[in-house]
Amino acid sequence: MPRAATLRDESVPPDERALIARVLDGDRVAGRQLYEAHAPRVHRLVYRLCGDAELAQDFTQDAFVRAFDQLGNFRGEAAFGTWLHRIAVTVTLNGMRKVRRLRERETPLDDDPGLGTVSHRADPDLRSRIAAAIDALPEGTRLTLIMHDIEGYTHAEIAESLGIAEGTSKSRLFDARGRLRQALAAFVKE
Amino acid sequence: MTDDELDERTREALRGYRVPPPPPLDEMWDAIEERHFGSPVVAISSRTPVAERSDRAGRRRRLGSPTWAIVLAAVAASLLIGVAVGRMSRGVAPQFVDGTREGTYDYWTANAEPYRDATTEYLGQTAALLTALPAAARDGRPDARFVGQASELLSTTRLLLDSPAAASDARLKTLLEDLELVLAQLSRLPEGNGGAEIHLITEALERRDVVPRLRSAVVSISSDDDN
Repeated sequence: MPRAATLRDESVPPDERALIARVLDGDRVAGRQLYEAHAPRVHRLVYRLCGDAELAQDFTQDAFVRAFDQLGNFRGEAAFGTWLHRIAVTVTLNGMRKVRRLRERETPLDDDPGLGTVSHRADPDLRSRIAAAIDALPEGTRLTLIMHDIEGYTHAEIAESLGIAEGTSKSRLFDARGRLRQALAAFVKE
Repeated sequence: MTDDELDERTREALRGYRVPPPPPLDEMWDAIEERHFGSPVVAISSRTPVAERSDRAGRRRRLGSPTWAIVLAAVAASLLIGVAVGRMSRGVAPQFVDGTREGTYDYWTANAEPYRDATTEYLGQTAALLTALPAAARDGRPDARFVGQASELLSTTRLLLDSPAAASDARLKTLLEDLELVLAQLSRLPEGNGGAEIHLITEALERRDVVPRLRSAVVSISSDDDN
């Protein structure tokens, strides 16, 4: 019997459960279907987090490979998409830390906190100012802002994906918006 | 600037933060498939070497059921006879026509009459099946005949993929590879419970413009026949 038969009923739709069971049996067509159902949203989030097309491609691939490799451990406590997003976020953040360390080693004077983004300091328009302000946010706060205000995830989804309480997600978002308003208030005064 | 204006401009600016490019879905899947499942058996890109594909197709055929083996043997025989007759009647091997790679289904401008009828018929049947897909998706209950027809067409697809026509015509090969994936999915649909899967397949078809490409191929190959 496929291992996915142990999945809980309430979180994973029956069709997705069947797909997961087929992937566990080595069915690559089912793997492709599962991938197509989730890859666009995962790739969007990963790109928003890292801001680099090649890295986004690598991190998305790594996330799916890891998810498929660990599919036997997926028990359906959360939706498959949420579980997958958690893996994608972890892969992306770890990958970005590695890339940042490498870049710091190669160019110690480069203090740009973003990856694959240009410095926004010389460009005074609002969009650039906001981009710079988002890049300057603490990691968890930035992640919550991107997921909620840009990608439209709910606090429940963010909480499950990041392994935090919903209240933490809400307070991080409040913090992020406050910091953005501060940055923009200075811009409006100028 | 009022608070409301500032909020509105902030939301607008947030939407423009690191706007993602279209995801390279096929490219990423190739890498994922290779890393997780091993060498791909069903690929939708055209980057797989022809020799490797032939080996894999051979493996697939060996794994087929006896009933399908008979059908496959019959189709294979007709294709092989067609090739032999075509080559003998023209006296030359199939030629690839340079300079028309993007605009036409090249192989059909050379010596492929024996393949043409079989391929045109196959493409027409596949177009009809895929056109019927949205109705099946609405019902969510593909019947045995629908699934059986997909299996039959899948077998023909794989034979055509291994034929000189696909080897000589990059566009046809890519189309056949896409159809192979779609038909493989359709032929594995569970009877009476495939609504979500059909929906996914329909979405994939639309995303990859499979039906318009199929119709274009039928028109292109048929018009070569008329010339």
